[in-house]
Amino acid sequence: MKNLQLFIVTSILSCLIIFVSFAPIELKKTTFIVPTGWPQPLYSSTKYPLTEEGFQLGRTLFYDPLLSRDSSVSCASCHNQSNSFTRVDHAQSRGIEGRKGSRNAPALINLAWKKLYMWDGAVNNIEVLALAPMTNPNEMDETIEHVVKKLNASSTYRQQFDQVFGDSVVSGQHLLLAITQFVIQLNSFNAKYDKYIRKDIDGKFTNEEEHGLQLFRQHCVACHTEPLFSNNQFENNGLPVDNTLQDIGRMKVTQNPADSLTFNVPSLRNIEYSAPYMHDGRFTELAQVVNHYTSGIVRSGNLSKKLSVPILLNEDEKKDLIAFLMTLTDRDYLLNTRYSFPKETK
Amino acid sequence: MKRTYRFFLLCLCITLFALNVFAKGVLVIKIQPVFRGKPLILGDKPYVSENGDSITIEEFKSYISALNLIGPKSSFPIKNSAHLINAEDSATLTYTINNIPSGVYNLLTFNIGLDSVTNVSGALGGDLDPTLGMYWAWNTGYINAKLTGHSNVCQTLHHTFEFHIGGYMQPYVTVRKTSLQLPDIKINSETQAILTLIVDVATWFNDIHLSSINNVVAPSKEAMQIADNYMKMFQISQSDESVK
Repeated sequence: MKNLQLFIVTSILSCLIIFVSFAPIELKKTTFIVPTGWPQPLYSSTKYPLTEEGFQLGRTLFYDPLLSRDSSVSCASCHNQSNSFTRVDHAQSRGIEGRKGSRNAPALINLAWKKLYMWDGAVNNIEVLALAPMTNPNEMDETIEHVVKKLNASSTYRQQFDQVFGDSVVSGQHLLLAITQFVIQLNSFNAKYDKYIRKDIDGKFTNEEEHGLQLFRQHCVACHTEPLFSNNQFENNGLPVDNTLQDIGRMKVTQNPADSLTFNVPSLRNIEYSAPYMHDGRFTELAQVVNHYTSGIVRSGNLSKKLSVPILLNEDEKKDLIAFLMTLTDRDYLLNTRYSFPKETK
Repeated sequence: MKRTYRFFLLCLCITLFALNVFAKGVLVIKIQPVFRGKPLILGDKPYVSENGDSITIEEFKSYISALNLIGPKSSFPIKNSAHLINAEDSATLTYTINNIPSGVYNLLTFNIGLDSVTNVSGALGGDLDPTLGMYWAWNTGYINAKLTGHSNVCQTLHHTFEFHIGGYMQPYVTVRKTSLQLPDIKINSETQAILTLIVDVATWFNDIHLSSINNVVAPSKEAMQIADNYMKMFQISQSDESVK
């Protein structure tokens, strides 16, 4: 009997040793933060866990011009951190060789809480979001097949992909999932507004900001719903159609006339830094945006029902509303070094 | 020590018994692309469609998914069975299904294309990897099947016709379910069953006038018409069995 016990104990021990020596190196798991009082995100990474290594790989890719055909532009070329990951100097984004797109690059904020992506909702899952700019002739003009080939030619990248996904042969899936790990963590929830909601000491609103919030909740919140400042819907906000672009918005995707001239409601977080405004970047100042809603709306057939009652604001009220919008600026997000160009890996 | 031996013997008996009861078999599906009965050769070989149009085929790719093997007594739905058939790559023309419970099967059902769940599931791998040229970036979703080539009746650049058929949202859902009656296929652990499917790409052109419909690369009414055509492209050729 003693022999048997010894046999069992040694077997278990040797099994354990074998298991441990063959187990993959443990990656640093990252917890996705859902701020108190916020809804649960609509996206969660179920295919691979969020890890620090995955985030850093995604970050390197985000800043690497290798993703474009002639290695001239990276994601960051149009999604600049200090502009809330959009681009301030072009109304419509520019691609390789200075090619011009037809829409304003959207800010990248709190993306895991969105349902559909792009101004027209053409992208149905954040994991495939990067494919659109990568392959659009007016943006990066590349193919994912070729990007994957270029990545497989780099031993550094192969090693990093191996570490994160356990496969040293880079695949299209793993490329997209790495970028996803980075972009879904570009999250903003520490603006003065958030501190006000949390009743933090430095979250005291001025009288103007307080009044602006009241006006906002009265006139704007139906579409720009708190705390994400978007209702995740597509709305026609009454912009006159630009004759050169003739952009029909969501209808391009659904081919449904009811969706004509509707666009995804953008979040207003960091709006102070994310000019120009609207899908075609036609406004450069917040005052122009506010004036559009008070006096510029074109009342066509499928104007958003939420805009059926005219918004009437006097000059003081407009100033207060803008003062409130400035409280959505989150410096912890705009200046977060975790999001910036990865100097240490270059 | 005697006890240990007895214990191992018991284990062995249980394992053997289990193996016998849950015996599993293998089915190999071979896919033969043809054009009206003639083997499909990509490139310059001309074929004549039912409408009398002369056609050459450049590329043929198609997803099959959600395979289900059905018999009088049981059915065996094959999990994660999405498979990309590419006429250019002979390795994709053989599809092996393992671990099929022993028994007799006489019906095979599957989807031509991919269901809506797959279309909204983000970045997938293997046969569903977006590098395989079957994923739309401009309006996310999979291309269910692709057929491109040339015909003199097409008034297009280089007389090209291009059919990229996809779409998973109403009103343009282009996945199609097909079901094929099989001669009784016996699955057991000793032999390997072989089933040969013919896929006739000529069906794509049924009632399609290439002179007017030759560029279908987005979900549309024309894409639906072609999807209704490719629904009939698979036929049973024969079944066979070989000793493992």
